[in-house]
Amino acid sequence: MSSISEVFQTLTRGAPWMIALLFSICSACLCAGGKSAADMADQYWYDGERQRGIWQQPGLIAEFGDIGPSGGVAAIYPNAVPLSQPSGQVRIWRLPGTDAQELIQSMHGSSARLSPVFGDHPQGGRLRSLPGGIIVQFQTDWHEARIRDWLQAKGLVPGKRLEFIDNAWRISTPSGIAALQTANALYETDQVRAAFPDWWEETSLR
Amino acid sequence: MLSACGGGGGSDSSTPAAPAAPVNLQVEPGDGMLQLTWAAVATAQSYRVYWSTDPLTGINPAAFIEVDAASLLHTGLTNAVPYHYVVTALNTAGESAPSASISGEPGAANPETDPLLSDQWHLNNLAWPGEDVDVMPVWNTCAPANSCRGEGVQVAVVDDGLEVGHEDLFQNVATGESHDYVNSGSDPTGGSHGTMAAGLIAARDLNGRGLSGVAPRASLVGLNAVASGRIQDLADAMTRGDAVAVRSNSWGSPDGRADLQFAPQVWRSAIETGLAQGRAGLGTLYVWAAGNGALAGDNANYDGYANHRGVIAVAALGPSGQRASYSEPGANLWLSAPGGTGSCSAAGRLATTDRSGAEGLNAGGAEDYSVLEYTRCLQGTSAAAPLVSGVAALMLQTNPALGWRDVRIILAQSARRNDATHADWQTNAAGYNINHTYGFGAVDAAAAVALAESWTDYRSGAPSRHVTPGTLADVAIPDNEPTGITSALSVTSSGITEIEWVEIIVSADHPYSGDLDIELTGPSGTVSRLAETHACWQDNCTPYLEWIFGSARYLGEPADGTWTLAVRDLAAQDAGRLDEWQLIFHGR
Repeated sequence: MSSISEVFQTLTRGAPWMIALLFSICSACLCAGGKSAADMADQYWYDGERQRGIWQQPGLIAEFGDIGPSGGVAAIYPNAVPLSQPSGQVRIWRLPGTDAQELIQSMHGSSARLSPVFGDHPQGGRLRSLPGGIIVQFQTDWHEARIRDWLQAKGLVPGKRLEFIDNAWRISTPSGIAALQTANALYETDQVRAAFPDWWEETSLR
Repeated sequence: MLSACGGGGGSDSSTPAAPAAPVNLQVEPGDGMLQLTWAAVATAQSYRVYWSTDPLTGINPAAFIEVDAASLLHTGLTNAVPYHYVVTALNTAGESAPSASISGEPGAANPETDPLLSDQWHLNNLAWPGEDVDVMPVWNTCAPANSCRGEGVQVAVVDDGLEVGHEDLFQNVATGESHDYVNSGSDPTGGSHGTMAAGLIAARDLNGRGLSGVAPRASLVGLNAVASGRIQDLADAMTRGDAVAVRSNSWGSPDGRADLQFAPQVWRSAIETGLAQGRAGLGTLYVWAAGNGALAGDNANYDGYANHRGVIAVAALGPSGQRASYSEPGANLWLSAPGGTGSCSAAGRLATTDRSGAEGLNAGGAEDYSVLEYTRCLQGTSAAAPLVSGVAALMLQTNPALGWRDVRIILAQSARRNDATHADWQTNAAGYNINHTYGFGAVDAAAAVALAESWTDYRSGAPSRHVTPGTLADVAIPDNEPTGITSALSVTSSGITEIEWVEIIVSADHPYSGDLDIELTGPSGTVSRLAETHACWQDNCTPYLEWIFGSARYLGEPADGTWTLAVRDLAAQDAGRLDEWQLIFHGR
């Protein structure tokens, strides 16, 4: 589980929104009580209307972006072992004897784009992580100006409008847990149709 | 490639030995050029290629070229003149002995050939006649000339990249249509996997180079969304480019997990958009590799991508027309196509284009081609799906008015019943051959194109849809007991007399879902084996919580009648309950 302080560290603007976000996160924690399978998970996300549980993999960390072989995690933590190359522009590192969350916090402020790694199962399963960014689908009758105002009040700015879903926008966020928590908080306002992180998802080339 | 650096002369406390002499020299002629390759020497830092127009028995200090890699494209040569070569390897310790000599003669390639075409058994199978995609008749008999090889049809390759400048692809790459999701550009050159898939679809024919795709004049669009791996990009690649008619997907959920792995809603929404709006409303064709995890108990019905109603899931065949051992079964399979089996040297795999240089599948190994732009070592449902994409392109060229539903029906009706004695072949109540391993059978390009040309039974727009109420079973499933339980659902007044697809939504509370064997039997007696008892990877079994199975097997049958779901727990230790199930019919 990520700490509330991390949310403060990663989302730097929009104080009123922050309060709402934190309230939302705490509410979600308090509400956990056996309502669905996702309640047993470390975290959850909303795949459309469906809540899905995910489990953080404590010995793994994901690094995104174009960092040389000696940069990023490898420079800070020489004992990091790269997992066999997964698909996609991501490096997944195994960190012997180190908690991924601690490493992420220790690298706060660096240029590295890091994320915890989650599995769709408690012991792993398909992996996913958070390169940054969320996708939000708004009500069909919300026009762009209203969307911008609504997001601005929460310290967020819409990016690109997506062509393949009705009235959906991509919104930049930091990498890591902040993306997940922002998406969940937006969805739990009950004012949007969908809000979910732009996950990196493990796939197979066949 | 060419290097002017010297061999160096320093030594250190651990002075290495001079490298061994290079071996396995090969030479391929070209117009005014010769392509030399040899086996890389592990301790070499560079190579020196000595050449002469006179026979060489050793080095020729008067003429040499130094290169860093184990190949040389020697250009500026005179055709029909023999050139002779030896190669040495260098490192800081010195120069190796010379290799055996090799000779070659540059010459203009015959522009009316594809030199490696004879290796493409999937196009023309001489060892097992008929066990190919049957495309030669399409190429040879079409009229008017030059309009039967995919001209004017765009096929997107959604993969890890596409080498747009490849010598046997570039003529077919649609200018400016590709997209690089990693660097936000228009050049998706990157991984080799997509370049191999692209060659199977549309390697350029009759250009004196390489080989041929199924639709060798179709236009290629590279979308490297798999190299990004973000779900937004994977979804975007399902709709990007208004002119794209077919999207070939040789990827999916991780194979070999034997677990339920959903496709995210954003991707499913994109597919629905493509079906409804692609091709100016006629619908985009999505062709999907069914998966390579059969040896680990995986099943295409467990993959939310290959299991979706909007995709054509393709299984893989070996050169004899039988199942490739890795190819996953499933009630959702639509077709089969050659995917290859066995070793490269046994010629059981597929020949196609490869990423140029050593970054491709062909890294210069002895059993692959000496020219690194091609490989004969590809196998997988990744190879089978692009072949069907190519056939779909030929069908759409023949009849551009076909909707996405028409193409699916035609492919099913024209499929060939391969491996005729396979025990699972059945005929459903509408007369379709069905098989959990092969779908409706092996793709047959000639039959599909002929049927597309004469097609009159158009199905425009979205299919009709009938959703049954949820059937609340709430029944305990006896543990490790072969009889199991059944639950019946009566469908009346659905309005669907010809099913095109059935979605079966199942919720079962069981701590180890892999224990469950699940079958659906339709009113006509057609059975869909949706899940088989299996071990889950790392013992992670995702519960059946509103899991949507897809079945192709009721194609053409009516929806009304009694449907029965049978659930058996065939393994000891864990027990559970069938909670609820529901059917969604798509058809007319």
